[in-house]
Amino acid sequence: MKFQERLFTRRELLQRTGMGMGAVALAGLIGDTGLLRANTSGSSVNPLAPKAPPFPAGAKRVLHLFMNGGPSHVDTFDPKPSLTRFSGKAIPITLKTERRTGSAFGSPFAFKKYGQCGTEVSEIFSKVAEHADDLCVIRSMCSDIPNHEPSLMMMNCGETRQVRPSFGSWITYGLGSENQNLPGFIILCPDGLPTQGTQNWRSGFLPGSYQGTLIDTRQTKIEKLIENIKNSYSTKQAQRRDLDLLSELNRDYQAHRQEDALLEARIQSFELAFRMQMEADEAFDISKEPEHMHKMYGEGLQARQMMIARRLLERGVRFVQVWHGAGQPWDSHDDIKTNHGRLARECDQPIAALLQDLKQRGLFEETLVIWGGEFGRTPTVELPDVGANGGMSNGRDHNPYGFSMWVAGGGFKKGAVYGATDEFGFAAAENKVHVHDLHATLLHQLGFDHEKFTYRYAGRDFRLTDVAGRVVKDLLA
Amino acid sequence: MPDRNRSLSSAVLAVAVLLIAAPLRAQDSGSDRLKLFEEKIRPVLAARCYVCHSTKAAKVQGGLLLDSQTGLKRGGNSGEVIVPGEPDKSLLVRALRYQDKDLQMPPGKPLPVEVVAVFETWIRAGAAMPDDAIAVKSVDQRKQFWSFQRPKDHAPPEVTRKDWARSDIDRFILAKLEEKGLTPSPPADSRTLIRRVYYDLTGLPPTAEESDVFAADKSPGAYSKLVDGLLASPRYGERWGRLWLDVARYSDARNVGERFAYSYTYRDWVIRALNEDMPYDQFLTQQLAADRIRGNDPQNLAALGYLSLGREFPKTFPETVDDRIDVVARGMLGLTVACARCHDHKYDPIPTKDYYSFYSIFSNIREPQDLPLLQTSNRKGEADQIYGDRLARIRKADADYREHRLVVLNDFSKTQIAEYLIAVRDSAKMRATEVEDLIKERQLNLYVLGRWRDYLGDSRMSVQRVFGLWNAVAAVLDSEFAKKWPGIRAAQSAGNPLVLAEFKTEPASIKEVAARYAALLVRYDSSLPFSDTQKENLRMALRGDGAPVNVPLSDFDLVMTEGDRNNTINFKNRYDIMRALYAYDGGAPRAMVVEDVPKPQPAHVFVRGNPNNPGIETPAHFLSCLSAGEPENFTDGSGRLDLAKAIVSKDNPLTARVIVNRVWMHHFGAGIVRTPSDFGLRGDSPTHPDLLDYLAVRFMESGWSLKKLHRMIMLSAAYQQSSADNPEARKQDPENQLIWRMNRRRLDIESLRDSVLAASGQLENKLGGVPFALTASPTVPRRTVYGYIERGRIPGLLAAFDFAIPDQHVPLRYTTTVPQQALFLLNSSFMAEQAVRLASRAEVAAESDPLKRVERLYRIALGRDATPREISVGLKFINFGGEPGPAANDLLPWQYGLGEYDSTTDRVKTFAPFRVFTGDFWQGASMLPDSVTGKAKLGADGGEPGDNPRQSVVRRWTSPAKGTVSIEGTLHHDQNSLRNFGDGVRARIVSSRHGELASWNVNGSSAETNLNGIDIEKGDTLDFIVDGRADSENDGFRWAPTIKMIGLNENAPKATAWSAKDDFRGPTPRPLTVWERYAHVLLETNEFAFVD
Repeated sequence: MKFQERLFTRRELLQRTGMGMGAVALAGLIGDTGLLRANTSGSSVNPLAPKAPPFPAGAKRVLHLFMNGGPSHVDTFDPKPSLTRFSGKAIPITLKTERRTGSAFGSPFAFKKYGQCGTEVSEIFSKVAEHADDLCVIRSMCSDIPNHEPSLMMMNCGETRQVRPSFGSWITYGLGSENQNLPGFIILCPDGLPTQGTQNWRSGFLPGSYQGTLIDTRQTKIEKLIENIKNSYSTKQAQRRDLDLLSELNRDYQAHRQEDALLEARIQSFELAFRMQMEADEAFDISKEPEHMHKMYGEGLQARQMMIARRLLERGVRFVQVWHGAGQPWDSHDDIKTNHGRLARECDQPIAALLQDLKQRGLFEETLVIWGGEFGRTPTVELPDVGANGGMSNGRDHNPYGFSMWVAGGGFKKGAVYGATDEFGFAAAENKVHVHDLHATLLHQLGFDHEKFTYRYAGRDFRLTDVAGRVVKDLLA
Repeated sequence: MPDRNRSLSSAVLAVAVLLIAAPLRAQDSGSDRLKLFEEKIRPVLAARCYVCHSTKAAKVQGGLLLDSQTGLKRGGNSGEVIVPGEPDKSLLVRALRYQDKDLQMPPGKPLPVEVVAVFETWIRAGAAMPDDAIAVKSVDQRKQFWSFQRPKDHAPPEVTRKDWARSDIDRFILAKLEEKGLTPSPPADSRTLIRRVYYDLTGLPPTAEESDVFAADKSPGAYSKLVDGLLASPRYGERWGRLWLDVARYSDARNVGERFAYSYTYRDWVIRALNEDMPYDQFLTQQLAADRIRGNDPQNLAALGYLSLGREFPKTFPETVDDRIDVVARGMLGLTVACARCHDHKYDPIPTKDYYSFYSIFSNIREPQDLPLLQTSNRKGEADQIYGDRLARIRKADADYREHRLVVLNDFSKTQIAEYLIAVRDSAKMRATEVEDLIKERQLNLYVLGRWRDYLGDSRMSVQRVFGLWNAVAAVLDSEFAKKWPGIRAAQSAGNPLVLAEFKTEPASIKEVAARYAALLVRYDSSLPFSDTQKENLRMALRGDGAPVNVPLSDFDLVMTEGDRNNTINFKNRYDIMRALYAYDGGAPRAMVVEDVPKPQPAHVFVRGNPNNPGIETPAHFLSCLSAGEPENFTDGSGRLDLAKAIVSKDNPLTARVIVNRVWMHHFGAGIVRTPSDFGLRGDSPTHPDLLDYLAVRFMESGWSLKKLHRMIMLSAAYQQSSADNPEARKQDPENQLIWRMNRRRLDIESLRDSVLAASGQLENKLGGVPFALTASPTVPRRTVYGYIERGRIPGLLAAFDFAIPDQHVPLRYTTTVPQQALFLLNSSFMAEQAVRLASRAEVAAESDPLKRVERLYRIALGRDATPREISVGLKFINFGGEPGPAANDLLPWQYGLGEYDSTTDRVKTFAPFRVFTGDFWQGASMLPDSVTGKAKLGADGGEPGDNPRQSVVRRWTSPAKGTVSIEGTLHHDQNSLRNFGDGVRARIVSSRHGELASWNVNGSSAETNLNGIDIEKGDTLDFIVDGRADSENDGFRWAPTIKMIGLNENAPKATAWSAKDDFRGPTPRPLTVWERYAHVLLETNEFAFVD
């Protein structure tokens, strides 16, 4: 019998202690030890009960801002003057990309230095750049394959092809969630699904309760955000009475089945659900935010999403992943100038505001804020192809060989730039950080040894970093 | 096992530690030491040394084996090679260091210093390596593992309590219990037992009356009669079929939005096969190779869904194959063959080449263009005609596209003649990967390059006369070209004179030769033939059948661009979508078959799992660990039928054990092997190995009859035990591995939902057919097994209740307890609807006495009589009465339905409100298209019209007052990824008073739909009606206008606004009465959800 299967039947845990005592009493004891920050009895059976990580952690929660489609690093966080100089000329690097690309294509955007640290950032992220002194910009990210699907899988699940649990599922599996009245792993995405859909936040072979819960942030009604969260058939008082009756009947049933923790867990889950009805409504309702907050975040869907993200993190949700939009919005095969300009305009202020907001609420230091896409884009211009792009030559193709991401908070270095791509920005050249390495480092900050954080499935111990990854200590403060 | 006398506090601590450690599978210190070996040493040995020093080596060198602990410790002809703790004295290290002249390994080139250093570290630390029993054993040694031995027919052991044992099974169980001094639990009472048996065999509860009859029947055969009766019920197949569908990772859609047309025919085949007790060996054979069995009943072709209903990755074919390998290997054999994809299986005797021999089988199958009919349509006629035309139209568009693009691509290749000639020359000695780089760099096509190479090598006279000169030039070095040119030119006097004329002057380089060839050939590229033979030969070099730039249509896939690939995939998707619409709209059922490709090609090992790195060829054959000697190659097509025969052979030690264990697991809540899809070295050992064998042998002897197996298990005393606690036994065996009692189980989602429907009196017994939507309201009261399962977008209800997510094979379901489950039970429209139905069942409603009603409800919902205490608790609840329910939502003036605009009267002449709400849309049926309403639906943002003007969708607004209104909104029609087809939609706004106010056509475009100053009376309607114009493909639209009204009468003096989007909602809920709430609570109880 596998350990993790046991995790869910407290009955067996109880039995292992060799004590013939009732579930309720023991749950009380566990609660008293303080080791299990359980809200009520029975929650140890709840797979999302909060758990301490095995090692000291620099971060408690994760906010992943996913710029899906692949933002161009040479237009955002990796300035390449050479590229501008060589614009229109061939560069001496050829790497396999998905489509054909041509000559060097200098960024249409201006870069400048920000903050004390002087990190250079593109004008399109000028507001985020005001936080430069808190960002750890990694300019030497690399992944494996120049297509969206496998790269999304790599970034989210640590494996390009096969079914593996997502990063967020691993984290909620390992840490549970601080708020039992909300899902522990929440995906925010407006208007539909990103490419690869739910596979990006699937639990794989981990139990389904660790799967991410998708919230369509274009929706404004709570019942659209969380299924069955609203009761439309009774008043709250009536429902309370119903639950009291239910509880009474269940206690009778349980009288001769004291040893079975699953029965108790199910009773508690009704109470949890009852409370969740109230809390969830509140958590997603940004109309509760004061006017100056709305001003700070700005208008539009991204502002709305970031505000919701902050409200969730504040309420103890373990892992929030915010997608820019359905499909792959950052996939600018054509017209980088217009498209990247627009996309950054949509999210620059909201992200900057979110960082500000986390800081002023004291949440920033213990939150790992991750910004990036599934890969970067070529420094060379993409050549037109029938049916593949708009037939224009002013965009960039996919590029997994080198790209930028940044991490803020959670014990990462502040005001730092790590690694570098080659002269033209095609491939990571100095201090390469593979996605596996990033995962290993993030796990480290959350209190896990990525090589030991495993799960037995189909005859093998699996981990997020597969058989690779190393903790990049230089990224850490 | 914890010490019984352990103090309380340490016990609590133990729990706490367990909880904290829970997320980790902390490795013990022993395995930590072994880690270095596994991660750093063994891979090097395998990669660099096994060739000569392993049991698999063609000839073992120096008598040294490095692939086992025994070998490493024993050393070779020169003695020990490892002295633990002393790297300098270890021969192995010396050899690696190239220290001695006559002992340098590996031969040729030393390993990098840092690798040698790892070996030194490892030996200095004691050279820990795993015991051969676990990992290092040779394949032959590892084949000795218990699960690879044929099951033996063990005699049931002797036991003391002979009176308890009712069957041989019991003697196996009891012997183990007695060994530990444990006693089995007393038999369950008859009401508990009948409930257990019903759920186990049918997934449904018995009625109170059935329980009464069974409880009263004291005859000796009563129990076996009960079991037999249920085994004969069609409900049995629905229950056990679903359990098999978990194994088969069954889904009704390949992925989100990619509905399979006929997946249900596989599901129905499984259910039917189980109901008919098809022998399990045949059951498996059909699913692997129904199409290869001579004289097979065509109905069985549906069984091939096992292979065809998996995931598919259009651009990464190896993943599609991997999915098939895994579902067969784990599903049927309980082996994790997929682990051997990138390297030999770390534990089980499964070498990589075995994975790729399976790859040879499952990569050589495909879905045929036309799927075989299982029965003819019930409504042959209109639909067949309509959909037939549409499907044909898509195929034609695809064919036209290919034809057109082929001309373009061939013409383009003609502009690259010189480049190809040079490339053939440059790539002559390159490896495959280098050639790929070359063509990428020079923007050529690999296939066209191959055609050029073949063509230039063609020995036909006409070809040689044209290209003889080139071939001679291509054979010389660039540096020697000038020197050799005169000789070459002179030797070609018999060549094509037109070619020779082109080379009167001496070309400066080989490149120039190629360029002149290109110019010459293009000059004679004519659509009309020349009468002059020499000219015609030049013409044929570009236009002839085998001409390199005259790629035939059948090879289009090999030359198409990325964009062409996207476009052709779009055609295929479009075809599949249309075919699925047809299937759900009454199209006759077809089997989702696979077929062998005409010329199966053996696969190659992908070295380290990389398809671009081909290794040795691996013809199709069975797993070597399950074969006596070297497995023989399969010869019948792709080899599926041979594979099936090998899997169901009585010599195969796994197949029977694996299924017997699965059946046991579903009866007892845990398997004899608790890793039901991993019988390998890393799986759990059987708790009762002899019993497992015994069952497997009996099962095969019985003709692989599952029903006989159920009977055998269920008639045992072990199965009929009570689930009550026994603290003494629990102390010794907390996981109940020895089966001292029956395990209590919680209903899975299928049983739970079906039971609620049974209690409400709604459950339908209809077998099979196209799926229904589980989320629809009003509920479709069919069994959950028939609900629509969309891979990648599983309904929240199923996901929350631990459903088997069909991304891949699911060995067993988890049982988690999360608040989403409770939210569903508390708040869903499904539960409210069923509570209302339950409370209004005739037997309940007919009773006017509240006490009698409570009694009735107990008998229906929980299948038993209420106790006096329960009656009084119930009556107290009822008497307290209800607080008033929430006020009904303000009645909104919106309605949603089908209608038709009549241009002669300028009015919407019919309006029929949609009946079904899915949570997102109002529509005509739970799954679309529906034969009456087509695919018409309306949601908050927009919708989709049906196939004809009668199926236009109407968002109707009825004015609550007299006034003047204005309308604002934007109508959008997107070109989705399936570009360029359909003709968009037409929208109209029609007033019941004034007729059509405006209309718009959009096709991949948007239109502002703003109107002002419309006078309106109370009760007038404004209809927002959309139809699909002439072509009904791709008609999804977005249109959610806002209406503003300046009221003219006194009651509505201010401006009022209605937003189609914000106001959109499903059916208005009605507050539950106190009786309904009471019924609702009974359905939520633990008693309802658990089976003792």
